[in-house]
Amino acid sequence: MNRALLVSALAFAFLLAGLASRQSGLFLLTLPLALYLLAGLWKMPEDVNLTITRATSAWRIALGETIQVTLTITNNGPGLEEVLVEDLLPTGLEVVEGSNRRLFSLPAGGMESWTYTLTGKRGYYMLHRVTATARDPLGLVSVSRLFATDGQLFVVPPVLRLRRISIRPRRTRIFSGSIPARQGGPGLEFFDVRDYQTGDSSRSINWRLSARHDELYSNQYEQERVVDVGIILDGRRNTNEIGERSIFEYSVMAAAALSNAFLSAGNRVGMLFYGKQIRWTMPGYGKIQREKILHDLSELEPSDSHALSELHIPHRRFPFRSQLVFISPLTADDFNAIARLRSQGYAVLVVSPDTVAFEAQSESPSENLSLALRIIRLRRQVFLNRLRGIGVHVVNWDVSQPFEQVARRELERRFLAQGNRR
Amino acid sequence: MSLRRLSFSMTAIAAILLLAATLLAGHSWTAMLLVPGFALWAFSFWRKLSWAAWTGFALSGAFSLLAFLAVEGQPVNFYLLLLSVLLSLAGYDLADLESRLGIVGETEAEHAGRIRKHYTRLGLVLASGLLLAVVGFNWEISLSFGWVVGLTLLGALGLGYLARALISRQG
Repeated sequence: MNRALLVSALAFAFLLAGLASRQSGLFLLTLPLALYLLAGLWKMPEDVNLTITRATSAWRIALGETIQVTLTITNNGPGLEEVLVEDLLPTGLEVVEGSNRRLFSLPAGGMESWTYTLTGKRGYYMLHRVTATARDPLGLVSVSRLFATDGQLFVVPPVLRLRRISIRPRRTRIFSGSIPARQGGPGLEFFDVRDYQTGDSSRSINWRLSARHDELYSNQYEQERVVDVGIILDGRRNTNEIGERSIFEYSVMAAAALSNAFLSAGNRVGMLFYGKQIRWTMPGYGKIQREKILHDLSELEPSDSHALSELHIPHRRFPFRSQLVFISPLTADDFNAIARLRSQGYAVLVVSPDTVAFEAQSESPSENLSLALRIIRLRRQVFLNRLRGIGVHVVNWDVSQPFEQVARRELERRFLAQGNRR
Repeated sequence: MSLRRLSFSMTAIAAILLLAATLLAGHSWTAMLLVPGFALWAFSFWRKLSWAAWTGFALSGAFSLLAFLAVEGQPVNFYLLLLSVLLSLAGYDLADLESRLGIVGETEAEHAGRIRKHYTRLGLVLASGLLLAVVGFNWEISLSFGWVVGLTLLGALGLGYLARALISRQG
């Protein structure tokens, strides 16, 4: 309710009733109300002419971290008795200390500054709007203005540190790295034996074999090179959302951890997000690529999409026989799509957050539920075994366990490398 | 005393004064309507409903009008009604101040200076209004109907200008 309007309406009512009834008391009751309105008019804000700048302690934070935002307001216009400045925050951000609103008086040419602390959910946020509402001392008149400011914030997923992940795609790149390349040369692991050639180090001579054949033989080691790794992140709503809850955050966390691990080992990593639209993070190396992937991951949300079978991967981006990492809760319909990738020669690693275990967490235990869970688990197990049968390495991740622990157990073992030789 | 309590107390005293004025004048019907009306206001205030503040003020104004215009009983006591209007206006103003400070999420202690300043301003405005009304009431002057109409029109024009100036600046 507009206060000026209500007080004016009552004053008018007293005045008109006084005229109608010719009672002086009614006329006189108008006086305090009129004086009150007059006091409001006396120091009414004329204009809100401010310069507002925002400074943030960081423009990129990991999930759970905080940033400090400092707003500085300078008054370029006439003095303001009461001004409420509010930094408009997008949904997903939360103030943890201080306030994004401040009420103060600002004389002409005066300056005011304050700091508050923010945190937020994973995402990309534009911090670019601040409102200022000036009022007269009695709060009868308010004049609001919206100010544009600079500011953005990436809240990226946490990057879990994984040790060396054993993968062994058939295709490697020419640069030396840490992935066995199925070629003899300098390396650490024994690969083959060949005739001794002039220039071979005496340490590389296989003395036992040479003694048996009266000729010199040299040991060859397996070259280690970098590889192309394509991460496919499943953003389909039907696979990620279970009722009101979503398992997508776990997929994002896994994608961040794996891409970081592959990039740290010197590999070339790209990412494909499969949701309503297909979104690419072009393959690249190093820290810049890690930042690109994290920024892209911060913006992704699950959405409606077509079946995975319609997904076409251009081999220029993810070359045939390179490594693909498919991060998805999976549905039974995905088998053919994954089998097609295998038939194209890709080494496929599937990291699948377990939707059954995830859903079971939120249900109250009962006999029927445990029976239903058993049936669904068996179905899922059969499906995952079918995938394993076509040479796909599958990591079934019960999200109640930390991903580092699962990755250490499932991805850092040497036999994974042997398994992919098939 | 917190702003909220003060606001409640002022509007409650305004209601009691209004009730006393109507009962003293023998306006039993007005008094009977007044009790449930302010009970509803007290309930809404207690539940912190958004319309509680303006309802108290509007009820006070409406019942003052009704008390003056009631035909039954004796003429109502002007001073009681004047005090009632002033106190309900103060209650409305303080409730609004409390909500404005509440938006910021800071405690009233952090705004002690601002609140003190506001009390002074409001006190001055209300005291001036009280003084003018009392002087006007006791100033014995007889005016012809033409003068009354003329002065009323002048007052209405002035009020209209005030209201327009205040409302048009909103935004």
